[in-house]
Amino acid sequence: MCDENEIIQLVLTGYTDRFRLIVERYQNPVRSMVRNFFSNGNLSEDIAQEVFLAAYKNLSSFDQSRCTFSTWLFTITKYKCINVLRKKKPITAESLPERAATPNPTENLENEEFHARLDTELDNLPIKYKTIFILAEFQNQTYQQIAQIEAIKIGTVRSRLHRAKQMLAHALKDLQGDIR
Amino acid sequence: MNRQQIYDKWKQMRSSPPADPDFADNVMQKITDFEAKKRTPLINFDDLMEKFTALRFAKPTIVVSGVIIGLIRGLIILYTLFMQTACVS
Repeated sequence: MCDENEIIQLVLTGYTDRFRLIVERYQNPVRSMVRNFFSNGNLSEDIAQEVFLAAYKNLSSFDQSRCTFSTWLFTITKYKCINVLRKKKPITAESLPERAATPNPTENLENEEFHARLDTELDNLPIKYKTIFILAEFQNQTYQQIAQIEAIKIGTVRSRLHRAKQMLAHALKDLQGDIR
Repeated sequence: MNRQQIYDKWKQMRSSPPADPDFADNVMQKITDFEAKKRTPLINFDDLMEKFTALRFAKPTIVVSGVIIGLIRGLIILYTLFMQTACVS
């Protein structure tokens, strides 16, 4: 596997096609992050593509001494998502994510209800809590990486994540949800 | 399945998006389009000429412009000659 910085240098010197290696390496985390911001699959795919295009256009401004490439890419993703969220229409039932069926119908129904509530409550979280929750829980970013992406202190990351979880747990109280 | 397990399953589902085999191709296509757009000059003279010649009065305009330019050129030459003869005499 090629080193990221090597690939970036090659792209910057004109080997545009090498950018595909970066796309292939990071498409899943970026697509997953965008999908967690937007329930609409088509919209999130478009935004994820725009993220990579923006990364390509601004590749020369990436400074490896300041942060890792993934942190830089997640920062672009976050800003793209927030920009679109500001113009976003209300969520409709059709736009909720599709889920794979489970073998047990009763269990499936129970899980579906819990998952649907989690989806709704996640969508209702204020953006500053939602971003941190997504980065920590789904993207498995460390507190330090999140602090860099959000340009805030690690302590703030910790407290916002705790608050986000509290809000989710409170919203799921009637379903007797207990999440760590 | 308890709540924590259901929650963990939700987390796992949210963390792994469904595979899209065309994703990288689509991104690379956007990059190719961007590069092609960058290389296109701001003013394309071929397009400009095509649009101009499609105009109704394009031919008369070209002929009249040619005549005017020719006249101006002739006048400049005559004026230069006149000035030279005036200086010599």
